[in-house]
Amino acid sequence: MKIKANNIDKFFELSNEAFESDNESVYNDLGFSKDEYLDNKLKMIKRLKLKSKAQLNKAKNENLLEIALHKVQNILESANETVKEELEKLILTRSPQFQFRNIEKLEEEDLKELLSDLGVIDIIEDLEKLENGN
Amino acid sequence: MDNDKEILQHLNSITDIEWMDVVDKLTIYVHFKLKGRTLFGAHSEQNLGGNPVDYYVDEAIGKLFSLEWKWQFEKYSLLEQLQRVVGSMISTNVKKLKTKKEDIILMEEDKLISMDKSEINDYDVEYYEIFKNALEECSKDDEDLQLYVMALDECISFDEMVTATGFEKKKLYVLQKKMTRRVTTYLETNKKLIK
Repeated sequence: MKIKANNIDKFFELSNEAFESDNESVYNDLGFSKDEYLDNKLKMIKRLKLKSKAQLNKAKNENLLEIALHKVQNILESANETVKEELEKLILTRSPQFQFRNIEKLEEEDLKELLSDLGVIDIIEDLEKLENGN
Repeated sequence: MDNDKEILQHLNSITDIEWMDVVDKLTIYVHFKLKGRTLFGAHSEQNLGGNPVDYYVDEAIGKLFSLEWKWQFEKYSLLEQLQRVVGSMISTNVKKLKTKKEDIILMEEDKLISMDKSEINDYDVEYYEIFKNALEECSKDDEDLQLYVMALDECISFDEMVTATGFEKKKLYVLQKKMTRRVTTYLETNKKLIK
C-alpha cells in the first residue's frame, strides 16, 4: 500500500526555504567548500556556454552560406551575361586560383565550399551590389 | 532551430553572478529534495555513481545547454526550469529503480505534468511511519518543536504556521533548521529501520 508523502516532501521543502538565506551548514553537510563548489560549477557552465556559442556561430554561418548560395544561383540562372561576368571577376579578385574553373559547372557543394573560402559576409555584400546594378 | 537558438541566446545572456545564485539555490533545493529519498535509499551514491546532489545539479544544467530539456524562458525562471528538470530526473530514477529497467527514457515535461502526482511522491506507508516517529522522537524534549510538529501536520507554508502557532517566521526558520538536523541524524543513525 502506498500513501502520498505530502508531509515528508513538505518537511524538506520547508527545510529548503529555512536554509536558503543561511546555507553554509548545508554545504558542510555535503562535505563541500561552498566557494570551491560554486567556482567549479561556474567553470563547467563557462565550458557549456563556449560550446553553445560555437553551435550558434555554426548555425549562423550555415544560414549566411545559404543566402550567398541562393544569390549566386540566381545570378547564374539569369540571362544577364554582364552580371555573370561581374560575378566571375568578383570571385577571381578574391580567389585567383579559381581562374581555371567554370563557376556555372560547379556542383552546389563546391559552390558552398568556394563561398565559405571567400568570406561569406563580404561576398553577400558584393553580390547585393551586383544585384542592385552597383 | 529558431527556438533552440533563442534558448541558447538566453542561456548565454545569464551573467556569472546570476549563475552562482541559481546554482547555489538549486544545490540547496536538490539537497533537501533528495534528503528524504537518499535516507530511504533511492538515490544513493551507489545508484548514481557519485554524490547525488552534484550529479543532479550537473546533469540538469547540462540538459538545458544540450537542449535535451528546453528552457521555457517565458514561462519559468532559470531556477524554476532547472528544478523541473531535477524533478523529472528524480522521478525517472525512482521508476528505474522500482522497475529495474535499464533503458528508461527521461520523462518529457508534458508527460510529467499529466502524470498523477501520487506516482511521483509516494512512499511506502512504512517509510511514512518511520518519518512520523522521527518527528515525534526528535521533538519530545522541546515544547516549541512539539508545536512545530503539530503545525506541520496542519499547514502547508511558513505563513500558515505563523498564524497557527503565533511564532514569528524567523523563529519558525530556526525550529525548522533544528528539526531538519535532528530528523536527518535520527534517520541516518536508525537506517536499520529502513528496509
